[in-house]
Amino acid sequence: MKQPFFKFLLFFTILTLTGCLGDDVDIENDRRILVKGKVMDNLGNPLPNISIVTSAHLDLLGQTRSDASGNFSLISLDEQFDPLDIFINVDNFYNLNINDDYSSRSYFSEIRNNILLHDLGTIVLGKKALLNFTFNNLPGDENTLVYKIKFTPANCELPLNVFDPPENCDLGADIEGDFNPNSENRTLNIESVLGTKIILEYSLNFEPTQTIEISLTNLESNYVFEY
Amino acid sequence: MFSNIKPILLFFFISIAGLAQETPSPENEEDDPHKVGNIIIGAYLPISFGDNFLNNGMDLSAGAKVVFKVNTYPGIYVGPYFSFFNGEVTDQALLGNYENTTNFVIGGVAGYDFYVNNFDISLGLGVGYSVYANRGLGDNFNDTATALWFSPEVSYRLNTYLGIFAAPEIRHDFMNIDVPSELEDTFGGVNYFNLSFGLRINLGTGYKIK
Repeated sequence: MKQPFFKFLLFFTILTLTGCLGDDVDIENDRRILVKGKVMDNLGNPLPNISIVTSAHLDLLGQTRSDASGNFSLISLDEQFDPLDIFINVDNFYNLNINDDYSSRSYFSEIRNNILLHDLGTIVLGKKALLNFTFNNLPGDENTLVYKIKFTPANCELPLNVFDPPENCDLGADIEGDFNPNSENRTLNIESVLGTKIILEYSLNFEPTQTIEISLTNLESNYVFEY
Repeated sequence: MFSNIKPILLFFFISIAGLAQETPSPENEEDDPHKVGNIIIGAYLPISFGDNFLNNGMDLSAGAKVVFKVNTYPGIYVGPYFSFFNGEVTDQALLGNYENTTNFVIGGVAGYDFYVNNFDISLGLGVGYSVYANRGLGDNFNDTATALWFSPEVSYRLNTYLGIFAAPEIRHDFMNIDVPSELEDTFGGVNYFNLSFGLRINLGTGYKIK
């Protein structure tokens, strides 16, 4: 007698929990947000058919694509509690057709607000460029290396709705590390933007820091640093 | 879409204008105590027009309408009104990421009713609370509005208690959606030219066929 009852109770509990898990979006009634802007490449040419998405906590609220002139105007829903994020040429699980040749831009909000218009202005997406950066530990040299590589990330993330926000991600990302005489060779695959520069700051054996500037002029290039 | 409804508008205008030329029967001028009122119930075909979010980004489909009209002074009626219809979102970039809607209107009507050669003709005004119950994205949410409409109605008496009716309806929904100023033109209101037809149930014995 007890077993069917507990089976029923288990089934009912699972059903209730499933229902709770599924309803994690709370769309604001009587409200729409407008997101607009223009997408261009770093040569000043408009980029058509670029995906623009609004979401809150990864729940899709609105989506559109840039037109032939690169312009977009997206009317989006708004979430009651979660802050708004905007993704340009990013596919966050939505199976969107994005342009893999170009970089992307993401805008993240810290807190929810009641702003109805987000004019993003001109958004420059450059072609992606890959730099394979190899640190080569020469045998016999007993050097210690401390380094920092600054680069413009292909996936640029910027804050939304903050006072005086940065306009782009130029040299906005970095990778730091160090090597000792026993370290093995290591290659870093840095995904950046064509036409930008990568700056290597390094110090050998705790001597003053030196800088090397590398221009990204090819879609894929290799750089070997020997120490 | 608006060009499609021009012939329909013309048809109703000619029909109503033609009927209006008929001499009203003596019954029309009587204060008949047995004319309690009527209930109309029928299909409701929404046709939006103009530059607004609903006309630009949604396909509407048929719903239903029920109106209970109670006679007060001779020829004057008031009563509650209910209608609904469905819509499918065709352009999410213009509306937001949801899939479909059901619009409900609950309100009241008042108007003038007269009788000509087995035809009951009424001219009514209505006001109501309009809710667009939107679905999609795993959540439901509402857009709301105040609806205002004008609806002439023609019905033909089949017998004392039953008739058939057809009624065009010009309706405007004053939307309550918060939008930035540059979207106020398209989200501020929705225009409709709706059609409805169906049964009219007469309440009372004063609706005999002549």
